Amino acid sequence: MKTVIYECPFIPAEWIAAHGLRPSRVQPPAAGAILSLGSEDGTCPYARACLAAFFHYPGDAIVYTTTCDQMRRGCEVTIAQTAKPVFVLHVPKTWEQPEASAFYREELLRLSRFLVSLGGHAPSNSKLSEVLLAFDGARRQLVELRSVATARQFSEFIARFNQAGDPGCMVDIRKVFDAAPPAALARKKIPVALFGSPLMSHHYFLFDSLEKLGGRIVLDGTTTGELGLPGLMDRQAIREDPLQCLVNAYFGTIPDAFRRPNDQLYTWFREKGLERGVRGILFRHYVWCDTWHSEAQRLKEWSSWPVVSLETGEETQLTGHTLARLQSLVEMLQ
Amino acid sequence: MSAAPRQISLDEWDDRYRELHASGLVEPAYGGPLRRHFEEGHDLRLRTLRFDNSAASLRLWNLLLTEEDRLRECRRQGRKLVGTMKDLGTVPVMAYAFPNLTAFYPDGAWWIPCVMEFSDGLLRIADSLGIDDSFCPVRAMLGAFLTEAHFPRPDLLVCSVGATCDDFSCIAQRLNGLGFPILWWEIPHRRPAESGEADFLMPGGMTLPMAQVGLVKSELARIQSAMEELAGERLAETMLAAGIRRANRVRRCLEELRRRVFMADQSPLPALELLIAEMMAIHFCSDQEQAAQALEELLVQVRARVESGQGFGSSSAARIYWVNPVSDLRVMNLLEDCGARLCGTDNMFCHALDLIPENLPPLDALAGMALMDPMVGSAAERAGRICQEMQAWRCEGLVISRIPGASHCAWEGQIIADLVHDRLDLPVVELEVPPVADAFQSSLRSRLEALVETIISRRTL
Repeated sequence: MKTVIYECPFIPAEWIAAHGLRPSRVQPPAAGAILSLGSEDGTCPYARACLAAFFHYPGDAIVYTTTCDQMRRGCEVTIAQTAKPVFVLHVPKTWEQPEASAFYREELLRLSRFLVSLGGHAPSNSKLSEVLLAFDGARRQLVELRSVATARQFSEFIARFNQAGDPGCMVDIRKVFDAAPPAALARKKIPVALFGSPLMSHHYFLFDSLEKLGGRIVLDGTTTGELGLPGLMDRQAIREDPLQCLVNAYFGTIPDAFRRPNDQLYTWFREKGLERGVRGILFRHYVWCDTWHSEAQRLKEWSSWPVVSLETGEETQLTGHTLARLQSLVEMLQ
Repeated sequence: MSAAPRQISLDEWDDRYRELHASGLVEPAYGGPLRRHFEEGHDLRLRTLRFDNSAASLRLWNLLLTEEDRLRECRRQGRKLVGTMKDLGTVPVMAYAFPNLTAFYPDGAWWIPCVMEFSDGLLRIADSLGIDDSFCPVRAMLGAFLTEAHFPRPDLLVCSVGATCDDFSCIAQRLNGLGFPILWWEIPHRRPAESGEADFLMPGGMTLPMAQVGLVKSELARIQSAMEELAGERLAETMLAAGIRRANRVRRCLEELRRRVFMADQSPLPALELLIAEMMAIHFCSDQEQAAQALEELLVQVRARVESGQGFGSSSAARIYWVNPVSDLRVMNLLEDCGARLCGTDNMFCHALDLIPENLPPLDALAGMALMDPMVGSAAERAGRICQEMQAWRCEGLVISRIPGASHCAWEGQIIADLVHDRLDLPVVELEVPPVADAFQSSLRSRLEALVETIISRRTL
């Protein structure tokens, strides 16, 4: 079975799977010196990491989106340097008009033609419904783990689910959890929300570092975490119009920072933050990531919770700078 | 009134202005000596620039440097102001089709820190809002909105997003978060029509997917409705068609101006004035009729110089194609100091220089033009056009000017440079130009001189 790799949370895994292909959402490690990808000056480390991962990750085709300008343009570097088929899906940044959602739906249909060209089969409504139900069921199981797993486990399970692109992976995820259940959830530690740019695959040390200092992440507000999860689907709606259901679950609910306007991001964050009893925010963005960087000051002005912001690059372990920022957050909240 | 073409300083313009007046110069209402912009407008950068000494260029500069006054006068007269952001050239055509709307680009604030040599404080305001120097200098726009010292608050703000640079989209979102309502409209990433897909043929042969044209058309219709509400009248198709014809008057003039400047043996217009002239295409410097007249006068001057064999610099100057506008205007002078001349430009708004089809339904034509924006397509497509123009205008080298912090500059330079190397085998230099580049002058100079030396030495091969 051919594997289609992508990074953006607005690519529905179900859609690829329904075509008989394997979807795999990449969470990249740092590009480092793996590959020369133009000047590092001005280039977002996460965008570089994605490009590097697309070269090295086992996959038969690559799907880019337009949600990030550096990624949209980085796609051209990929096209020039790989023989793999590459597809660019335009995810509208506007969302208030029905035309935007309709255009996203049309883009999914265009993606379908690309998937067929790879050897996939355009799904019937009943086939698509079946796949949607399977993914939605698995995603519900995944979300349920949040209340019993550690914050790090839960975020890593999300990444694992996205990468596997198969609802059956919940069996493995459950096994991993059962084999190493958290001894005791750190209930007494200070609840903190992580918010901002997506995490690279080696960035989960942040969770442990914060716990050692007396805090714990109760909300992973990154698109590699909970922020990037599509909305749960209505079973009746799945049967009636599965493609529209997919559009609504992804385009209709993921409140990413790139959207215009992006007030939904703050609505989502307030709702989740209150629900989880958040007391402070660790806001993290990559250097040269305009989309998240520009939210840092706005978040501070908007939030009634204290915010510590952390600018990060390609570091693969805890740096003195990061440690100092985490310490200051916890001390502020104690 | 005419004198031999010469680049003169601000001080020299005092005498030249008196001379022109003595010989009967008649100026429009916004005319006057250049010095007043330095003394009253604090446009400090003017003292470091060298200007074309023609009356036509004086008019062009005066039109440019009086835009803030003009916008305030429009507000005083009760005209409605439309702040059009990012699309660079399309939405103003629609706005100027209404008799009582004036459109301008708040984006233009990106030159204020340069022109005022940071005395404006706009970048400090952007810093305080969390938009620091890792963003494109267009962040100056935030300060301009908050201080209202450079333009009045528009009655309607529209901003294109989608396949645009993240810097601008984020700065506009920050503005929106500060309480400035914005009508966002979507411009999709341009792609070729796929096999079996309905397409839309643009003049020049490019085909666009009908689905994309349809989306942009519906977005422009939404903007049209907002403008109709603001203007208090419906925009009939005939009015929009007339607006397109007026925009094309400016574009035709620029087309001939550029061709004559790029193809002449000796450059009949300095690089700096050419850049200013091109900028007129995007929103007519807030006065469509005056912009057209100023450009027509400049064209007459250029034709006369070409016919009399007069110009600037040497006829052996290295012929350079320049990509992306410089945030420091002085670098245009520097290019010529290094023994080069401009023979082609892509200042990110080539689509605003191309003629808008007059044989199509007006809204279709505008939608197609919006999609022809070089920044919404791939850098490879942009490079393709650059290569064509470099060949047509016999360019010998390419300068890619990186805009500090701009998201599109992360990758595009490498892609464009590789394609120009592969297709034309011509030398390329990529350099970064900050809003005031004095501290980098020597390194910029050595890189440009090295490019010129390379070009000259290749001529003998």
